[in-house]
Amino acid sequence: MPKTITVNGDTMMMPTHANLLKLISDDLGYSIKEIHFVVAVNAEIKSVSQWQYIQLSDGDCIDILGAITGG
Amino acid sequence: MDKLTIAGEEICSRLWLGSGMYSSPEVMLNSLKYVEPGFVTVSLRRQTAHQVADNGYWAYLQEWLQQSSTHILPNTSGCFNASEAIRLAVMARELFATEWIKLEVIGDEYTLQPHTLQLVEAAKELIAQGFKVLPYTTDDLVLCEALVEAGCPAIMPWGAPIGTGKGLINPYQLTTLRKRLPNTPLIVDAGLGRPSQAMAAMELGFDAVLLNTAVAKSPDPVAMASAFDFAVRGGRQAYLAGLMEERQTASPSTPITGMPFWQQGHLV
Repeated sequence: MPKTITVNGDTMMMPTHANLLKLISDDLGYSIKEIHFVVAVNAEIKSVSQWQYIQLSDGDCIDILGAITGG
Repeated sequence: MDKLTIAGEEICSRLWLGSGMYSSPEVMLNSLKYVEPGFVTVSLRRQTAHQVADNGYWAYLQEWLQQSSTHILPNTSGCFNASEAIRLAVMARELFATEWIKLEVIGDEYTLQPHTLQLVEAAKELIAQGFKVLPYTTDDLVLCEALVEAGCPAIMPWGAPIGTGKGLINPYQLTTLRKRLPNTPLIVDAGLGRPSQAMAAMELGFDAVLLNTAVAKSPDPVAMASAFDFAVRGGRQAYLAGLMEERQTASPSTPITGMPFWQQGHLV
């Protein structure tokens, strides 16, 4: 059975590297030069300095949130 | 105007504005620049890489906030229980680098009425985590007292349901809140559609007002923001000056002594 993760509610195959930083920058294409978003893995916030050390597991849920306007 | 201080921080204006629903980033920014509100509210949502990179509103806002006295106030809109609100608040603190949070926990989707029980639970936890919690709440006195007791540095009761523009639907209750919580900053949040309604809130002794739709959806948001600014200043000044007591009967404002004889018959 292939390993999967969920990113912002969408299920995708887990990349072979299984690294959070690489997922964010290489696979999903978020710019990490200036970071204007925040990341949670399984509802737990992960700071930028942690990303490179985090190995994803089958079934992990990743949320990537950015700023929006609101009242 | 007299200064407003909340949680030890000076707030530059008693008019607070939301950043939502403007027709363009430029219009939003011009409106904010014109009045320099005490707070501007923002939020956060799931975004793709493209959405993050192409976020003109946030880019404008972020740049302006660096040179403005306005505080940023992230909200927890869209949350329906305490745990959702706490999680979103923690993410907001990371993203926006502020301890301020406008705590919203919605209990009813139709009216967008706050969930009064979950609100207190979330407030307690967030305060324990070091947040400065400004809760969006109903005008229930006991609830507001519980939020003050929990450690909220200010309370934000609604004037009317969000986006209705109905103004102060329960002035009696708002007046009661002001009297019963004399030392707590009170901000009317939501439901204000007209500058006169904001002025009425300030005349009741509220410390500030927070609104979004009435300015953002005006055909001329900059002018409307300015109108609200005048109203808030006028209402505050009137409250400080002291409003006259209402009377049930007429009372002449011109002295009646010394009236000429041909008018005296009318006074009998």
